[in-house]
Amino acid sequence: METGYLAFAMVMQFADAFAFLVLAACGLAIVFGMMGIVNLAHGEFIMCGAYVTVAAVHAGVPLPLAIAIGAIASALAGMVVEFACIRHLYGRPLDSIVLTWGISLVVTQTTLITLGSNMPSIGTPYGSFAVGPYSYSVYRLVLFGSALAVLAGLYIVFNWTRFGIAARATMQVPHMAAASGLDTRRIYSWTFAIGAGLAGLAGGLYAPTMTLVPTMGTSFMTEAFVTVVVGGADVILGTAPAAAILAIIKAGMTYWKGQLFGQIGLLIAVIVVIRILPKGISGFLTRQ
Amino acid sequence: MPDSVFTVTDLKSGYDDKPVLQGVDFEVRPGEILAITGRNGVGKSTLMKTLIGLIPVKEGTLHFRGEAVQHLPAHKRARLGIGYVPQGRDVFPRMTVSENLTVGAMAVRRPDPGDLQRIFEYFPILAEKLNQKAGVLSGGQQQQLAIARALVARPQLLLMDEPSEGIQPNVAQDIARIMLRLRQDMGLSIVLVEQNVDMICSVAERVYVMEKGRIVAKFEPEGRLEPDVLRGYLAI
Repeated sequence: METGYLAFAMVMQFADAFAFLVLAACGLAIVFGMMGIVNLAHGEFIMCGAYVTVAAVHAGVPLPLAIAIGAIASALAGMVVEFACIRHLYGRPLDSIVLTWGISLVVTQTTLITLGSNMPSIGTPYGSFAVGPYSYSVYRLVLFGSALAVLAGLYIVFNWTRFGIAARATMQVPHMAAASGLDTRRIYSWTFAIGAGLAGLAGGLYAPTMTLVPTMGTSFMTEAFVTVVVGGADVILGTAPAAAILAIIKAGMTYWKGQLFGQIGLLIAVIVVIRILPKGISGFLTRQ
Repeated sequence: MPDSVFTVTDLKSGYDDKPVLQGVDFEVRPGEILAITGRNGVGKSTLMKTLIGLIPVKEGTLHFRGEAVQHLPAHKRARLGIGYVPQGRDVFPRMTVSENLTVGAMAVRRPDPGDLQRIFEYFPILAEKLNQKAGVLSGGQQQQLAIARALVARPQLLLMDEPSEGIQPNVAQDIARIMLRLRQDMGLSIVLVEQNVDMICSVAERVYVMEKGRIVAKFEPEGRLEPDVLRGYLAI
C-alpha cells in the first residue's frame, strides 16, 4: 500500500511538471513555429494574464471567468504589439529578439512603477484531497486538465478549422499561401494574438498559486524555452512530447534530489537534445 | 481592352539593389497559351513572381481584365482570378493532398464541391492520394497537385513556371495535354514559362524570348510552331 501512495505522489509530481511546461510553452511554441519569432516578451504576456485575472477576482468576478478575461486581455495586448512592432520586423529574426526583449523590459518596469512591487494574491481555491498519508490541492488537477484541454484545443484548431489549415500552409510555404489567396499578414496577426492569449491563460491559471510580482514572467521563461527548444517548431508533435519527457526528468530529479536538481536536469536535457536533434523532436518526426 | 485578359506594360522589377526586369511588355488574349522562354537567369521566374505579386512592381502597369493590379498584394491578385504554379511546385509538404486543395479553394468565396470532381477528371491520381502528405508524392504528382491547387480557385489566367522541370518526359506530355484541355473546357488563358521546346511547341500559339530582363524576340506564326526553328534560335 505504501508504494501505491508513493507512486501516486510521483504521478502527481509528473502531472504538475507536465502542466507547467505545456502551459508555459505552448504560446511561445506557436509564435516561434508559425512565425519564426523568438518572443522574449512571452513572460510579460503571462504576467499580464496573471495581473488581469487577479484584478478581476478582486473586483468580484468568479475565478474561471477571471482567467478567461486575463487570457483575452493578453491576446488583445498581443494584437496591439504585433500591429505596432512585430509586423515591421518579419523576416528579421535577430531584430525581433532585440525588439521583444525591449518590450519585456519596458513592460516589467512600467508595471513596477505603476502597480508597485507586488499585488495582493488570491489564494488557491477548491480545497484539497488526501491519498493515504499525502494531501493534494484539487487545483493541481485543474491545472493538469487545463494543459490537456489546451493541447486538444490546439490540435482541433490547427487540423480541423479553416484558420488552422490556412495557418499551417502559411507556416510551410508562405509565398504560396499568399499566391493561393491567403492574407498572410492577417494570419500572422491572429497567430501572435493566439500565442499571447495562451501566455495570458497560463498566467491566469497559475495566478492563484504564486506571488504576483512584475518579474514573475521570468519564472516561466526558462521552462518555456527549454520545452520549445526540445520540442521544435510544432506544438502537437513537439511541445507535447517534449513536455512529457522533460516532466519525467524534472519530476524524477526533483523527487531524488529536490527542486534545484529538477532544474539542472531540464538544462542538461536541453543540451543533450540540441546536440543530437538540432531541430527538436518535431523536426525529427517530420524530417523528409 | 476587350481582347486582352492581361496586359503588361513597361514592367520593371527586381531585388533591392539588383534590377532584373528592364521593361517588359506583352498581352495575353482570352483562351491563349503564351510561352515565354530564354536561358537561365534572364528573369523569367522574376517575371512570374512579379506578375503574381511576390516581387513588387517598380515601374510599369499590369491590367487584369481591365483592372490595374500592380499595387495589389499577391493574395488579392489570386482572389481576382490569377492562378500561380511556381517553379519547383512548392506544394505544402506536410499537409495532405486534400488540405493542399482546401488551401487553393480559399481564394474563392463560395467553393463549388463539383469543382473538385471536375479537377479529379484531369488528375485522377490526386483522387487516389487525397490523404497522403504532399511531400511524399513524386515530382510529377506534385506538379499535378500544384496545378490542381491553382485550378480549384477557378482562375481566368494561369501563370505556370517551368512545369516540365524535373519530371519525366511522358508526365510532361500529359501535363501539356491537360493544358490544352483546360483551355478548351474552361477558356483558361495561360502564361507558360518554359525551356522545354517540345512542350512549348505542343501547346503555345505564340512564343516570346527573353534576354537580360527584356523580350528580345517574338514568334507569332500563322500555323504551327516548328520546334526546329525555335531550337535554332535558342541555341544562338
